[in-house]
Amino acid sequence: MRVVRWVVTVVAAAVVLVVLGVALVGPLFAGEPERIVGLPYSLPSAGSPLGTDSSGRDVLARVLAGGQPLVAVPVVATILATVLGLVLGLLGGYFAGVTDAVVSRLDYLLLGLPPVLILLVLLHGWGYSAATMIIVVVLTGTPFVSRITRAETLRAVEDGYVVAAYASGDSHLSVIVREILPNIIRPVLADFGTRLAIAVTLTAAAGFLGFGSSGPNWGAMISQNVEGIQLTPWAVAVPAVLLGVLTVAANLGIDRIVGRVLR
Amino acid sequence: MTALKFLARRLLATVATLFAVSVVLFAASEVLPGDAASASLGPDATLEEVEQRRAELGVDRPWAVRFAEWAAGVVRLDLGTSTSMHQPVVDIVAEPLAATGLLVGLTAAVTVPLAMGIGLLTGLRPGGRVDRVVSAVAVVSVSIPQFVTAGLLVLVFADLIPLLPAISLPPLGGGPLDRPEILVLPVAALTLFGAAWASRIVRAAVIDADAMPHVEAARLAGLPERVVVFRHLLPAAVPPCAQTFAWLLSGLFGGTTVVEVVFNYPGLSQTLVAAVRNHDTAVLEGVGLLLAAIIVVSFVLADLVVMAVEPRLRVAAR
Repeated sequence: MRVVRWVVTVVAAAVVLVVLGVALVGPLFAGEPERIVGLPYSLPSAGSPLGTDSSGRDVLARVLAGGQPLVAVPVVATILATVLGLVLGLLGGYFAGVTDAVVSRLDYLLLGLPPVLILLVLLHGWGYSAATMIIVVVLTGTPFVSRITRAETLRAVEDGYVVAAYASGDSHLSVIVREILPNIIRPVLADFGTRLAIAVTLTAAAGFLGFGSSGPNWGAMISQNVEGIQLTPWAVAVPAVLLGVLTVAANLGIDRIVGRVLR
Repeated sequence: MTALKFLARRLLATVATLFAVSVVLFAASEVLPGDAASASLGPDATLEEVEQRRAELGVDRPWAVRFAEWAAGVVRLDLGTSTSMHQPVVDIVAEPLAATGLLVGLTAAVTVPLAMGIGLLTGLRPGGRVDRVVSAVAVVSVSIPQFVTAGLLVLVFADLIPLLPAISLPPLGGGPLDRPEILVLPVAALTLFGAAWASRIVRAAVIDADAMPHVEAARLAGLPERVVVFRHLLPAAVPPCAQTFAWLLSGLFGGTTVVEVVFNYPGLSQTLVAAVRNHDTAVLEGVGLLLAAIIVVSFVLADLVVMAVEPRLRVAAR
């Protein structure tokens, strides 16, 4: 039983590393992903091992080149959203009253808007860029982090050691950073994997809806090639599986790694 | 009386939220750079032409004035006129909204009983074999973007086993119900995500309810398991479930967009994406406000359900 679990873990880790490798190092080996190499939706051949896409471009080259934007932007954006959510949630939970009311209202306002709508409104205003995508992810992720942090902080401020630290004359900042933060960080970090998976999903969705940068993108590949699925499935299947592995790994793997490190 | 007071307060909060949402939407789509005038004329237009067009469209006036006009229109159920299609936004939005509503309604009709069933099955025996298998499937299903799930479904059920159409286009001049088979794959894609996500929360609610004193008492009194579950445990699990399904509904209205694009389904997605492409601010604001209204109302409905089944909250709402 133990051996089986070990084998499963190793295989899963290997698959994830391969996908991450393809995403990060792939662009170096992609060659010319925009070059037309044959008829649209050709079956795999020696020149194009995964066939061609809707415009006759090499699917393998586009797969190699199309993962990077789906890793770089979400990681940066998720770190920003987590830090901002932590700060807002700590402020709201620690200083009750007006601060809390403002933070809570802001959270509720943003939580009420569908992420895809926020995405489309900002794309409408600013057009696609890495910065726009980062702001979209921060706007949709921060309220969740802030709500978790606030709930945990409300619980922590009641604890004896916090009251004691405050009574012994420590400043607000020192109480928040030294007493409360270490005691609430775990659920926030456990949430990080989910946030990252959602960020990857949103970034891929922008490409999928046709708003990505002009270059190749796994999300965009799925929407561009779904019409030709009966001619050659590879142009959809390969990016779909890679994207699925990436988001599942973010959701499962990061919780586990964070759990290990903090234990 | 208290129920009325509660309703009145919720209604006020709902209106306030929608007002805030409309300010944000308006500000985000109008104050940001780029506007309908230059978008509708194309890149070759001269500066004078753009200026003239801006005056025609009325977008050269201060935005507070335009917001006041727009808001006054919304109150009269007039969402303005599309700049790219020269039609009232209400007319443009009506049919896609009905099509998306049909998709969301069907998905909810499948998802809610499915999530309740799975949640009960796993929550009554947490840690058991069924629970472990279902949990693993649920995590994977929730993690994968919906348009990826949709693409894989097309691959399997339209390509490998050609059972269903890959594209969900209704016949010319007809609605989606004239060809019901086009709804199967989109509903399946949305359900795979929704049922997996909602069943996790139902499961947690069932575990919590199972530990309540009155459920334990019913079990100790020797009542049959069926009676314990349906008469004592389930009512206690309804409040968190009602909230969950309100979330689900709001998630569906925002989340059908990408699935609709995979299948070319004639719902709100095409309206929204086209509005962004054509820089049609009026359509974007109109659809955004409609979506926000649907979401806010679904949360109020969830609160009412909770109040109906949970007498203690009725007291707390005073």
